[in-house]
Amino acid sequence: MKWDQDPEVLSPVGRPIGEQLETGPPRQKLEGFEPVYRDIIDYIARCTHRIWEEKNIGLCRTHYSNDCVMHTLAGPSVGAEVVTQNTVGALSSYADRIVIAEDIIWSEDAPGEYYSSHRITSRATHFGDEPMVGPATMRSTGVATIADCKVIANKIVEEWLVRDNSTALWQIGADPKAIARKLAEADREGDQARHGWREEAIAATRELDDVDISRDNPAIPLARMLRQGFADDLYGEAAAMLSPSVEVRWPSRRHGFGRGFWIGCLMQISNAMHDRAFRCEHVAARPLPHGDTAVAIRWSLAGTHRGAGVWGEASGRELYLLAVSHYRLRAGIVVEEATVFDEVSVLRQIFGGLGA
Amino acid sequence: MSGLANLETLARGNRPENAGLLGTAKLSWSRVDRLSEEDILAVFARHPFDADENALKIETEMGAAIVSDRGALIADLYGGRIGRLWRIGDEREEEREPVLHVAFDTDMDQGRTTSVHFRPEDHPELPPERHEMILGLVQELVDEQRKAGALRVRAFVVRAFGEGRGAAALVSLFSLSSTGQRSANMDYAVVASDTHERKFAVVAKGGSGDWTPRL
Repeated sequence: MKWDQDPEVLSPVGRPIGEQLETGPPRQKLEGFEPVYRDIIDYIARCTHRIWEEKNIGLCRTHYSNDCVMHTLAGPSVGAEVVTQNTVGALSSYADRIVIAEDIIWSEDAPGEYYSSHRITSRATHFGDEPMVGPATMRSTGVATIADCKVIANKIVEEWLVRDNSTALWQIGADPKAIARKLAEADREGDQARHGWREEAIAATRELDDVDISRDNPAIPLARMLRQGFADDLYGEAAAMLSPSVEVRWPSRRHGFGRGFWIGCLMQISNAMHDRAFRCEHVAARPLPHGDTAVAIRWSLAGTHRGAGVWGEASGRELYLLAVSHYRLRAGIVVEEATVFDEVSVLRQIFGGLGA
Repeated sequence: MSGLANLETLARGNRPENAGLLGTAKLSWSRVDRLSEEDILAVFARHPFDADENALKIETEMGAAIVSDRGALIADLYGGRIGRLWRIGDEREEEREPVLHVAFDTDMDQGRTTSVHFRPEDHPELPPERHEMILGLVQELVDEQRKAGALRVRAFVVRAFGEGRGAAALVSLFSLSSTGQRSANMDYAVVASDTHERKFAVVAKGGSGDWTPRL
């Protein structure tokens, strides 16, 4: 399918929530979806609103398949019941959570098979106690998350969820390193076979090719840019795809401007992870207001933690990193970039958790 | 309501009508980002923005600006609605949030010919005849900081637009202190000029914190 098919299916960028949630006739043919959903953007935005804000959490059972795998850097979970219970848990601690859709970048990868990359800022108050973090702090939070979902006939059949968990912990006064250590200690207890997913993921990153991208897709040069950086160490050539004034946001509140800053973000990781393998796993692109273009890339890295630096002393452990990057292109060049991954789960691996 | 009218309403601490401030809006001020309409309204209710009557006001399809000698508001617009907002001036002492800093090279070229990073195509609403004036004002900001003893002062032009009344630009300013023990400073600034050749330059005052390139 062409990346800019169905131009009447609009990005949420620049549109008030009232307009986004207006009911009405369909704008896109969606086989097997509830009639309330007007297009795939509406499906993602509206079901998120119904589940998280209207608190109809049981809708997870009709919006996730029973065998849905939700991939996170802390490990996968399977099934609609787990999603339902996890959502109840999250909302019991952060009850006033509002899920602000900064963008939803989607593709139709096969007839009736949709893929959405939903960049969210969740704003909430830390109202409730949490087992690993401790008592409620009543502090406000606002955390970047990207949820990539494969959707068929009203159900999410696979999801890749990345969240800036280090910032989330900072916001409630917790220390990401201390939490990662506690989690790693717990990971080392019991049957280690439960961490087998990580070795499989590392093998996939090392052995599988990049996803095929159609020739006209604006994501092509950006997937190449990430590979040039992480795999070929040609950071300068890679950064030519960025505006000299590009705005860059990475996890743990990394925020800066310019090509050199983006290179700095990559090199922090490249310095820590040696013998790297990079894989571009999925891309999507959609038109934005003002003639801009949005691109989403899900990517993974595998490498050995041999460099001291951003994550402390080298541990010698093999690390796995799952990330999603969103780009805003203007006149063919990136003017804004937002990358999200769970850096607490990276530390957790460094401290010997998750089977590392 | 126009984008400027929405911005003026918000500046006084009131809620713009008809979702004139989008629910997804983000405000950057005093080194902190505020997310969502409600949080931003609360900021302006507590601390209204004082735009004097001589302030320069500009609106294009994609942006709006209110700039005076005391402060500036710059907004991204979507059909007149505010999607993103920067407030410069009258900074408050906020609790400093932990940050992971990034070692980076501002130039990637010792033979660089400019300290101002600017790509014209990023700013389609800045008329070409205004480029020189805007870039000149940004260069003056850089020169001022250099004269004050700052090192490696660089400007990244983040937003720039103009119309009949004038033009404005939002800039991210980076510098290092020139002392043996260096500190890095990155803050926003706004420059603007009108058709009467009035010039404005406002720089956020924040100061640098500890440098923490580790998690």
